[in-house]
Amino acid sequence: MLFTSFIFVCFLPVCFFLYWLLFSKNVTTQNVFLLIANYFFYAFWDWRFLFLLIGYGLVNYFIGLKIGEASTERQQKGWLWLALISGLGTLIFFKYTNFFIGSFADLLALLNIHANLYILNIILPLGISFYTFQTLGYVLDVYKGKVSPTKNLLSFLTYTGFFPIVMSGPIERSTNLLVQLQRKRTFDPEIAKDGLRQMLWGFFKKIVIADNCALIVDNIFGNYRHASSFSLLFGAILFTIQLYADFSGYSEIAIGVAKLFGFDLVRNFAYPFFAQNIADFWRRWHMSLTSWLTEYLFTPLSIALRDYGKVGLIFSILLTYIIIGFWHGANWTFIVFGAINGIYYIPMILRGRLNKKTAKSKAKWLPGLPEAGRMLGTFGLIVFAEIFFRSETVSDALRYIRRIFSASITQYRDLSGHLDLWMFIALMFIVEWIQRDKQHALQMNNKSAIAWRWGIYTLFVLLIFFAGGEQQRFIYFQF
Amino acid sequence: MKRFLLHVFAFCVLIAGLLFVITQITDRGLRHSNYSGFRVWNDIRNGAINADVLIQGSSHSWVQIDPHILDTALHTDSYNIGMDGYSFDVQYARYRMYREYNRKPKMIVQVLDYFVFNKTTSLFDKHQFLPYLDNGYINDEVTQVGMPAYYHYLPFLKYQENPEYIDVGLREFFDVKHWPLTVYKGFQGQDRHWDQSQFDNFRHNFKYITPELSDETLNDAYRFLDSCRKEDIKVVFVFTPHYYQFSQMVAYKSKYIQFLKDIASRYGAAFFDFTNDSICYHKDYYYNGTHLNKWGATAFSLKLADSLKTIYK
Repeated sequence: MLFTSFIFVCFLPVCFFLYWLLFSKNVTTQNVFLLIANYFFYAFWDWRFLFLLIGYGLVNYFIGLKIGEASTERQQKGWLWLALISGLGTLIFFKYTNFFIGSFADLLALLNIHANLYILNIILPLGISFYTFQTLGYVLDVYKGKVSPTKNLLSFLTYTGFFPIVMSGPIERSTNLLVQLQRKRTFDPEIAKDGLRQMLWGFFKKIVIADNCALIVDNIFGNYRHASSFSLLFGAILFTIQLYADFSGYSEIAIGVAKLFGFDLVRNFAYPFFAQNIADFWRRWHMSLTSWLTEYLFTPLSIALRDYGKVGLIFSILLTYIIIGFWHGANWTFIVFGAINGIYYIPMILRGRLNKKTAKSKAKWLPGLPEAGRMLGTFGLIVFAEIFFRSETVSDALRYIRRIFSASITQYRDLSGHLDLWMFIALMFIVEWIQRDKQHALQMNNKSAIAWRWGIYTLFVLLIFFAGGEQQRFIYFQF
Repeated sequence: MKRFLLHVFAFCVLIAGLLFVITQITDRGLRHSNYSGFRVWNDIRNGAINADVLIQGSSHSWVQIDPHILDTALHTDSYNIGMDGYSFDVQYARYRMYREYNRKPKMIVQVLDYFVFNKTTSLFDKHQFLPYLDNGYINDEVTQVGMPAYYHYLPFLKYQENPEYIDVGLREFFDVKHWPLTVYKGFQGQDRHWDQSQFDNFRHNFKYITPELSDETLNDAYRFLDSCRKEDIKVVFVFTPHYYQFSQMVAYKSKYIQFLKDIASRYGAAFFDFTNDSICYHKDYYYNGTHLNKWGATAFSLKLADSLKTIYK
C-alpha cells in the first residue's frame, strides 16, 4: 500500500479512529490492533511475504530470549550467530543471489570460461533490508546487554512489522520503538497535529517534487547517449533532488503517521543539502541506517584496527560505505557509489578533521559566501556519486560522466519548460533553510496566528492537489 | 481529541470548499472557451447549434467534412460534431447530449469507418469531458470507459490530473485570456502532408486490418436509428474515402461494408460509399492512410454535398 495511494487515504483514518476510540483501553488492545493493521498493510502488497515478516519476528524474539537465558558467553555468541546467519542469509538469498550468480559468471567469462548459469526468478520482499536490520539491531542490543530481552511477543511482533516504517524505514532501534510499544499510548493533540504537519511536508516533497522530477530524470538517464552535456548535468542534479525528496518525503510521512498513533520515531533526515562537508552530509542523510552501521560495524571495526592508525580508519570507513552502498541493492553501481563516498572521507582523515563537528550556520537569512561555497561543494560531490546510484551499470555511469565533459554544450536544454518545478524546488529549499533548526520544515507552534498557519497548510495541500506529478513508487521500496 | 477532530474537520471543510470553488470557476471558464476541443462541447451545451444537417462520427468526420461547403451547396445550416478517437458508443452519448439542448436536425450524416461500431475501451483526450460530467449521458458513458466514478460525487478531484485546464478555465473566467477559434462549425481541416515513412512503418507493423464490431455498440446504433425513424430524422451513412493502399490492407472489407449497408436499408437510411472513389487514389489529399488533409477534405466535401443534394430537401 503506497502512502500516496487512495487506499491509504482510507486506511489511515479508519485505523486512527479504531485505535483511539475502540482499542485504546490498554497497551495490549492497542498493540493487538496495531499488529492487525501492520499485517493488513503489509499483506496488501503481497500476502505471501507476510509469513516471512512474521517468521523474522518469531525467530528473533526467541533468539533474544535464548541470549538472555544463556549462562555462558559462548552460548550467547552461538545464538547471536544464528540470528546473523538466518537474518542476513535470508536477506542475501532474496536480494543478492542473482547478483552473486551474475558476478560469478562474469568472472568466469574473464577467464574465458562461458558458464550457462541459471538465474533464479526471485521476488524481493518489500522492506526486507529495513526489517532485517531492525530485528538484527534488537538481537545485537540484547547480546551487548543494552536492552533486556522482551518477553512480550505481541509488542515485539508489532515492533518488527510497524506499518509506517516496515517498507522503507526509518530503521528503528529497540531502545526507542520497542520501549514505546510496551507502555500505553495516550492521545496528545499537539503531537497529532505535528504529525499531520510533518505528513503534509512529506507529501509535498514526494508528490510535488520527487514525482515531477522522476519523468524528466527517467528521460535523461534513459537517453543519455543522445543528450547534451548541459542536460546530463541537469539530470544528475535533478536526480539528487528527486532522491532526497522521495526518500525524505517517505520518512516524514512515516514519522508523521507514527505521531498520530502516539509514537516518536527517530529522525531520518536533517536537511542534508545544507551540510558543509561529506561527514556532515552523512550525519544528516538516512541517519537511521548510518547510525546503525556506525554502531554495529564501523565502531567495532575501527576499534579493532586502531593500532593501524589512519590506515585502519580509512579501511573501516571504506568498508562501512561499501556496505552502505551494497545494502541499497545488488548492483556494482551501488558498491561504487558507496566506495566513492568512502573515498571522499580520505582527505578529512588525513587532515585529522574527521571528528570535527561543523559549526551550525548562524546566518539568519542567507549563508555567508564560504559557507555557501562549502555547501555547494558538498552537493557537487553527492551529485557525482548519485550518477552511479541512478545508472543501470557502472559502464553507463562512466559514459554518462564522460559525456558531461565531452558532449556538446551548445544544444542546451531549455530550462524554462520546467520553470514551475524549479519554483517548487526553490520553495522546498527556502522553507527548509528557514526551518533548519526544527525537526521538520512545517514544525510550528500554536502561537503563530491561525490564519498564517492554515494559509500555509492550504497552500501546500493545493500544490499537492494540482501540481503533483504522475504517481511513482517510492525509490527506496526497491531496497 | 474532540478539539483535534474539530480542527481537522474544519480544515477539511475549508479545503473542500476551496476546491469546490476552484472547480466551479474552472468549469464555467472552460464552458466558454475555444481552447482545445471545448468549443464544440460548449456549442452543444449552450444550445447554440440547432443545425438542420448534423454531421457526426469520429476523426473521419471531424477533419474531413467541411460544413461550409455543405451549407453553400445545400442552402442549409450544418454542423460537424465529429469526435476524434471515439467509436459510436461515445458519439451516441454526445448526440443524446446534443438533443438535450438543441432542436432535432432534419438530417444526420453518420460517418462510418472500419472501427465505428467497435467498443470504446479507453479515454482519449479525457480532459474534454471534465466540464460536462454533470450531464447524465456523458457521465454514464465515460464512467464505463474509465473515467473515475467518484468524479461525479467529488467533482473537485476531477482536474487533479490535468491542472493545466484549471489555468485555462481561470483565465477564461476572469477574462485574462481568450483562446482563438480553431474550428469552423466543428470542422478542423488539417494542414498536413503525406508522410511516406510513417505509412511504411504502419504497413510494416500491421500486415492487415480487421474491422471490429461490438454487440453493445451495435445495439446503441440500432437504438439511435430507431429513434431517428420515430422522430422522422433522415439518416445518411457515409463511408469516407481511405487511401487505396490502406484499403487493400483491410480484411473482409466488402463483407463489412455489406453488413453496414444491410443495417442502413433495414432502417431506411441512405448509404454513400466512397471507399472506391477517385479520391482514394490521390495521395496528395491524405496525411495518413485513413485521413484526408484540408485539400482532400474540400474535394471530398464537395463530392459529398453533390450526393446529399439528391436526397436533401
